[in-house]
Amino acid sequence: MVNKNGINPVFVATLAVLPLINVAFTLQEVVLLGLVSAFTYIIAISLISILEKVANRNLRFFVFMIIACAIVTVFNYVYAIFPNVLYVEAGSKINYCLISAGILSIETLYSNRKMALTGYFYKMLMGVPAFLGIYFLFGSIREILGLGSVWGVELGFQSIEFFKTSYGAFILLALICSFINSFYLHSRAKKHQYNMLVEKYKMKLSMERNIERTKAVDASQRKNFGADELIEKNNGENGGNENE
Amino acid sequence: MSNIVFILLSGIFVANVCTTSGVAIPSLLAYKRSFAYTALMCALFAFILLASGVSYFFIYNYILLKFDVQFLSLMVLTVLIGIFSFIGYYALMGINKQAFYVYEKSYTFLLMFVSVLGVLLTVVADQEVINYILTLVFSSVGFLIVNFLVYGAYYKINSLQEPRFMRGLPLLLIMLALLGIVFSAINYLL
Repeated sequence: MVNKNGINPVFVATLAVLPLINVAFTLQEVVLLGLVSAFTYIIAISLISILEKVANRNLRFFVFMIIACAIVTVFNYVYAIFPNVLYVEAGSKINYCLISAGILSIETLYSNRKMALTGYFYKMLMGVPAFLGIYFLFGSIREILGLGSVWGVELGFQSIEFFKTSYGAFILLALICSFINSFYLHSRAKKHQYNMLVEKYKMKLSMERNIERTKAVDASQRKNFGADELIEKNNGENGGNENE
Repeated sequence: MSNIVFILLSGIFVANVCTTSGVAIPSLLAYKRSFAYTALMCALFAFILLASGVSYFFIYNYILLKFDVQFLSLMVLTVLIGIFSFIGYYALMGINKQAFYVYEKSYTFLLMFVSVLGVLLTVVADQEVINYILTLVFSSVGFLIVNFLVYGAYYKINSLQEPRFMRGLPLLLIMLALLGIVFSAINYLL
């Protein structure tokens, strides 16, 4: 997961999906748990950004988890007071969102560079949609294959039992992850190639400019020190001698 | 006796924390360094899981239930895991500097924290103390077995030319799915 270029964001998003795969089977549950995880993460990471310069990263993570835990407890309490369809489906499983939010924070809390608040928001903008995208995609494909329905609507074909199990879910998630990862790696390679090309042209342009500048400097020096007059004089004398 | 055998088979194979519930998978990602490091991390995982689990059990049953404040259970659990994670962190710093360096660099503190939290969320505290402790012990053993199997598989895979986009987590998930299929065969014994 960790390489010389930092943490692969696709792997972090997939890893955050893992604790939720065995507690959510329908798309309704997936949407609820995904949104609760994302909301918990956003609130907790915004609050923890205040401690950027005060505490080390492990302590920051611990405080992050306590804040996230308080948010999840409030969610549990609110859903228990106002029961609805989604709570009946997934209410008791909200606690697992805490694990997902914790994994999502790896990129922001454990970054080697010190970040301003804007840095946290930038990381959030990158991390949360990736997590939600992978989780919703996984949830919808799993419901179609495992239950033969989408959002509770029957599609009218035989479901495959294998995808209801955890190992079926692992294989499905591995395929989704590798598919998105191949796109991510390809786009990163393209971006790197583009940056190198831009760098090459910049160097070429600066070299040409430097040559022009050198020529201009040489020309100005000759003028300043009266070199041109001296050359002309020499040329004239040589010309006279040749004529004689 | 049959109860112990049931918990043993369930904790190690049928309801394995890595292959069935998937909550302990984050910890597996940090372990493919060396055999000794893997063993040390398994011991640390077991320590944090057992210490925080047993403390939580007594606090839940003798304080939270007594005063009817079960809604604080998640908070208590998180705080306990945090405390024992920090104890493990400083213990590792004192025991082995090299292992501690790898532990710090590979984000193991975070990954182990969330894994232990996931395992403790799946184990219900409303049961007999002996059953609870045995469940935690056999969950740790199950984690250890999967860890060493994955370590061995990684050792083999590193010498092959696997596709770049499958490297890391996707391959690990496929390995765990295959292990889960093998382990589910034990279900027929129960």
